[in-house]
Order: sequence, then C-alpha cells, then structure tokens
Amino acid sequence: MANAIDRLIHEFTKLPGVGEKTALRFAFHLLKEEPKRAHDLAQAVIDLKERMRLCSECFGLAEHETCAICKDARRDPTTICVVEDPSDLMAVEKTHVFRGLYHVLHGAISPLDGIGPDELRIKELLQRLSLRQVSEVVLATNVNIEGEATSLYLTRLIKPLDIKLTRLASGLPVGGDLEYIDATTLTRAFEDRHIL
Amino acid sequence: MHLHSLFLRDFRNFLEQRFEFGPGFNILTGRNAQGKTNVLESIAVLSTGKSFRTSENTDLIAWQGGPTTVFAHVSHEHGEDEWKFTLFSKEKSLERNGKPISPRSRHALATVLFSPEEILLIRESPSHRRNYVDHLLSRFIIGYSAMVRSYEKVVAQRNRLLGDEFMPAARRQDLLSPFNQQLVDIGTKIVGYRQVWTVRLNEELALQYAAFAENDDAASLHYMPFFGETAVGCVPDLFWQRLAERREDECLRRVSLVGPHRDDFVPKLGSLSVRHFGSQGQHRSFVLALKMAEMELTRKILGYAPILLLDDVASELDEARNRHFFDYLQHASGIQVFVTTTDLKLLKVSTWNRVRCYDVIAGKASPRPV
Repeated sequence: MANAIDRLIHEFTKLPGVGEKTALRFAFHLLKEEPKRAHDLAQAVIDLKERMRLCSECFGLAEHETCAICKDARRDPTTICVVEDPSDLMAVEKTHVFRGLYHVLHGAISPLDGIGPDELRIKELLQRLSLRQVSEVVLATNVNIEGEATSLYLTRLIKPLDIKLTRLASGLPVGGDLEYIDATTLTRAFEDRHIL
Repeated sequence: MHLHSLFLRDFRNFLEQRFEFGPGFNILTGRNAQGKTNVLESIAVLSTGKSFRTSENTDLIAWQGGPTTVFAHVSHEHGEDEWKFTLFSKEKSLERNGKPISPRSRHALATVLFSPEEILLIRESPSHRRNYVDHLLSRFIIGYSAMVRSYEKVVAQRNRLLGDEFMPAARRQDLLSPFNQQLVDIGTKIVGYRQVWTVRLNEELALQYAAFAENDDAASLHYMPFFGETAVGCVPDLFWQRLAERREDECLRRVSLVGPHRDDFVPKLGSLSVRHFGSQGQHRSFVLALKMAEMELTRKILGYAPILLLDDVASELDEARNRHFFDYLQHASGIQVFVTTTDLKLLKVSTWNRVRCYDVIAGKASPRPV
C-alpha cells in the first residue's frame, strides 16, 4: 500500500480542475497544518455524503427533509425559479435579487446524452404547480441548445396553467465593454433590445 | 498580404527547408513526385489547420519522425505576423504570434486554393458545396461558424430522437418540438445569410466567368434552399410548413429531413446546370471563375487579397484560358500567387516581372533564375 501522502495526492487529482501539482500543494499544506484542520476537512467531506440530500420540495441540496430556502417564511412561495443544477441555484442565490423559491431539474433535456424529461424533476415541478398557489415561474435554464430546449419544453407544459411565465434575459453582461463581447452574445442582445 | 518566408521541418519529404518568397508570382517547378505540392500544402495548413490532400495528420510528418513544423512570416497592412503549425504524432497546434488561433476564426490566414481536385466541387455531393460556402461566409460574418455549429447540434439532438425506434410516436413528437423551435430559429438565420451572400458572390462570379467565356450564359452558384426556390412566403413559415409535411417521413427514415442542412448550391450557366450540361472545359472555367470571385469578394470585404495557391493549374486549362487567367493575376494588384508546374513554359506569365522561381528536386528546393 502506498504511503498516506501519495494516497491523498492521488485522491485530490481526481477532483475537477486539480492537477498533480495542485494536489501536491494541498497535501503538503495539510501535512504542515495542525491536526484539527485535517480532521475538520475530513469531517466536512464525510458529512457531505452522509448528511446532504435533496430537498423534498425543490430538489436543491438540503440537510433535512426540506432545505433552508423552502423553510424560510420570509421567502415568497408564489414565485418559483427553475434552474438546471444546484450550482445554478447558488449562483442566483448569491445575487439576493430573487426572494422566491427554487426548483432544481438536475440537468437539461439532451437526447444525445440519453436525458429526457423523465430523467429530470419535471413531473415534480408540475405537481408543485398544481398543489401550491404559484403566480410566476421564472425559467433560468442555461442559454445553450439543451437549456433552451428544456425551457421551450416547460413553456409548453406550463403555459396552459395560466401562470405568469418568464425567461431570464440574455445579452450584454453588466460592466462589459461592447468591444470585448463575443459576436453571438452581442447579436442576441441586439435581437432582444427593448424600447425605452 | 505577403508571405515572405517559409520554413519547413520534417514536413512530408522536406527535412529542413527555407524559402524566401516575393510579393508577386512564386513558381515551384520540378518533375512529378518531387514535393512541389507539399509546399502549397504547408501554406494551406497554416490557413485551415489541415491538409487538402489527406485527412490523416500523420501523413504530413516526414517518415523520419518529426515534430513537423511549418513556420512563416506574413506581412500585411497592419504589420507582420508569425504563423506556426506544429504536429507531433497526434498533437497539432496552430499559432499566430505565439498564441493559439482557430482556423475557423476570422483572423485565420486567408488562402484560396485551386487544385485539380477542386473541380470535383461541381460533381460532389451538396455537402461539399455547403461546406465551401460556409467556410467562405465564416470569413465574412462574425459568429457564423458558431451559428452553424449550434445548428448542427440541434440536428444531432433531433436525429437521436428520430433514431430511437422504441420511443412511442406521440412522445417523440413531444420531445422533438422544443428542438424544432430552435431548428427553425437558427436555421432561418443561416438561410438568410446564405441568400444574401450568394447574391454577392454571384455578382463577382458572373463577371469573372464572362471574362473567360464571353459566349456562355451568366455563371452563378445558384442557391437552392431546402424549401424549394419557387416557394413563396417568409422563411420561418415555409420551415414550419415543411416540418409538418415531412413529419411522417422523418420518423420513417429516422433522420432530420428539413432545414438548411439539406440546402444545395447548384453551379449554373444561365438556367442550365453545369453538372449535367457543362463540358469538361466549362467545369474547369466555372471553378476557376468561382475561385477568382472568392478572391475579389474577400478583397472587397476584408480589404486585402488572400494568398492564392495554384496546384498544377496550367495543365488543367487550355491555352486561351491559361493566358487569360495569368493576365488577370498580373493585373490584379496585391495578390501573392504560389504556382506549381512541371513545365515553366506552360505558364503564361506574359511579362516576367515580380516572379520568383524554385526548383524542387526530391525534397530539396533551390532558387533558380526565371
């Protein structure tokens, strides 16, 4: 059996974005630190798998039956923002602009990858819409072929329910100089321009 | 644009070779199978990142091993660029001034190639002509190649759904619909660009062809959109209409049948198809005129002439066409031309100025007086 440091380096290199060198730095850093640091890290990693599960309501990450967002009474339960992944939820959440609830689909429709509506949490979304009083659904899937397809698919299902349906705008990034923006994005921004 | 120096290492049969090229005509002479075309190929590789003769990158590596390197200095009105292509077993890279660059980028080195194989463009399948036009348009329209790639992705997603034989028909239609919307949205844009730009290309083409063969009818690369050229109505409406009409057909044949991936560009003289009615000479003239039109259009849009690569063109054309073609090149200013030939006398370079000549013998080139 290889020694502990080689084993740790090997495990680190399996993480996305971590190469041999970074793994080496991580491992030696931990070796130099106090034992508590290593214990805390190890515990956090174990907890991640043992304690995290999906919220029964929105399918975001949760430590209990329902997640902190769904439990929060200050949030507006009549607005639901639909995202592809938990990481997208976190990105929207960081902005603090959205005060409603979420629904995480866990992917996007992509026949090439064998992912259809049944592989996503779409049935659960429709169930939520029929059981709860929802006045607006915000579609915040990615702006690529699969994200657009998912958004179009959901539009067809939700439109007849007489719920306000919106899609996140796409175009110019804030603080972006026009000259540095790629052509596809700029074209999109032009097409979606609005009257002032 | 002026490619003034070219260095090859372990490229095909060149082990190590340096060339200094002039801004006008650069002629590579030599007997067959000595490596003349390899020089043109190396310049084309800097432009497109791949060979026009083989799909196997490893064919480019000299059999001693490599790494294969093509290195060139190209000057243009804004200054000088260093272009470098390297290939080592399966790893290849294309760099401009030390930075990676995509051959599909607008900043890629613009070249126009005329080789005996190009004449097949008329006879080959529509996909060859679509690729030809798409490649040309991506030089002019920012974001066009990205658009074509997204479109191909949508078609691939649809094809996967259509190919799934165990999926119930109703469910298939249900899943196809969000992709249909994107097929129509992106496809309509592609059709729009192709319509507009073939008109511009054809203006140049008719002029160039007429200069060769004044008795023939006007030449055009006639755009045949997938919905038929006589159909009336706006493109998205026609698109949806065709999608509805061919729904059953698509399910039966398990593949996307509607959209610009079924477009064609038909080479025509007047109203007749060159493919069916043209003589061998007309085939050649047509492709040559098309290449000249491509040069002129590029010059108008980008403000500079691309580098012209002519592989054994003299043997493809009769004497009158030859003379006319070289006359045009001599009078068109700012075009750098690379020509291979087995016999200098075949080239009708009437006034012998701005000409440099290299003799190519068994993978070694040496300058020679004209």
